[in-house]
Amino acid sequence: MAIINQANKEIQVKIVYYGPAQCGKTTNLEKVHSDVETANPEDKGKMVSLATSSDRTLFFDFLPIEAMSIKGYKTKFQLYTVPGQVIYNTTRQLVLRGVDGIVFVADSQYEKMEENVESLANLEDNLKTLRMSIRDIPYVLQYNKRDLPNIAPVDYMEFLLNNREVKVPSFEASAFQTEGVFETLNMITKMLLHKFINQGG
Amino acid sequence: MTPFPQIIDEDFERITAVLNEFLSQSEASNALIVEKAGYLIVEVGETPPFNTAELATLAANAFNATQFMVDRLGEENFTGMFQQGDKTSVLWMNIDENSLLIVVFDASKSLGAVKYYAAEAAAAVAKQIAIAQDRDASGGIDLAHLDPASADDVFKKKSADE
Repeated sequence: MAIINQANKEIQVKIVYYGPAQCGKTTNLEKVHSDVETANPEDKGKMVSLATSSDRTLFFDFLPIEAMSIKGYKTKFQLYTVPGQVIYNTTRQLVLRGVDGIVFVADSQYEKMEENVESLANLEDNLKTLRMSIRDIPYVLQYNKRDLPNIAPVDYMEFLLNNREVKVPSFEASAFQTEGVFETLNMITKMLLHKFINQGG
Repeated sequence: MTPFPQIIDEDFERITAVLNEFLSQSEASNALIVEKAGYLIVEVGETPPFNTAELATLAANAFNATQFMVDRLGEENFTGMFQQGDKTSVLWMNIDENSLLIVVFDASKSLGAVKYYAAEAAAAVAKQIAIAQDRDASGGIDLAHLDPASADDVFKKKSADE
């Protein structure tokens, strides 16, 4: 849950990038870190990656970033990724603790569809374990790797991953080329801020 | 799980006073109150040679990881954790279901003393957080007049020539 610190005039919000192994979660954070425009250099923290020697996420990636003030409150966003590899499920549960918003990054390549579906189901299961529901948490879908040749049509991905009564926003992206990265992040941010407005903080 | 409450000036001042007293008793260099999702709530101590927000996140997640061992071992809870370095050591002390006290101290200092005073400080902080929890129902910041349009494009991509 977001933290509102009235003494420090700060709102802290946690966004988790979730998805199957090697779908581009870490790349999203790297591109936000390298390409985001900030008024002050200190608004953007250092990106912390706890990765294996082969650059696969072992624990999580973490990027603290400060956005605009709302009514005098500094808004601090904590962006996390989870390890996508199936064996690290306990770690994914750990990183989901206190999550406010989720970006589900799906790999657009045809051969990754099964992994996408499994990962989304795994997200729902892990949220249940933490006594949360995907219906209560703002989340967006990102169809990544649209620059690759063997990709599934967006309609098909929508059918597989966004086939529900109330559809969530989805974005085509090529995180590697920084396409769709900021659109995705801005949408989840907007949804979170709307949630705070509706709930009066 | 009850969420971490909103902290107002009164809580902040009380918690800061408790931590300052703890630092002077224990001779530790830094004390942080961290919400277990990784948020840094209060920090007290010397100007640290490390980023405290980063340390808070790493410390919270490291502690949470050990909690997965609790079930396997048939324990209810782990109350703390300790890492000994050559120059600097770190102590984790559980405050309540949502928060931790993280203490950074010179490795030459006595762990026993740090632990003893940290337990007292954690109990005092827990008390103040409980007060904040009771008050929380009426808290909140009024965001009703925030223009939702101002939430568009919060994060902007740098232009190519930057």
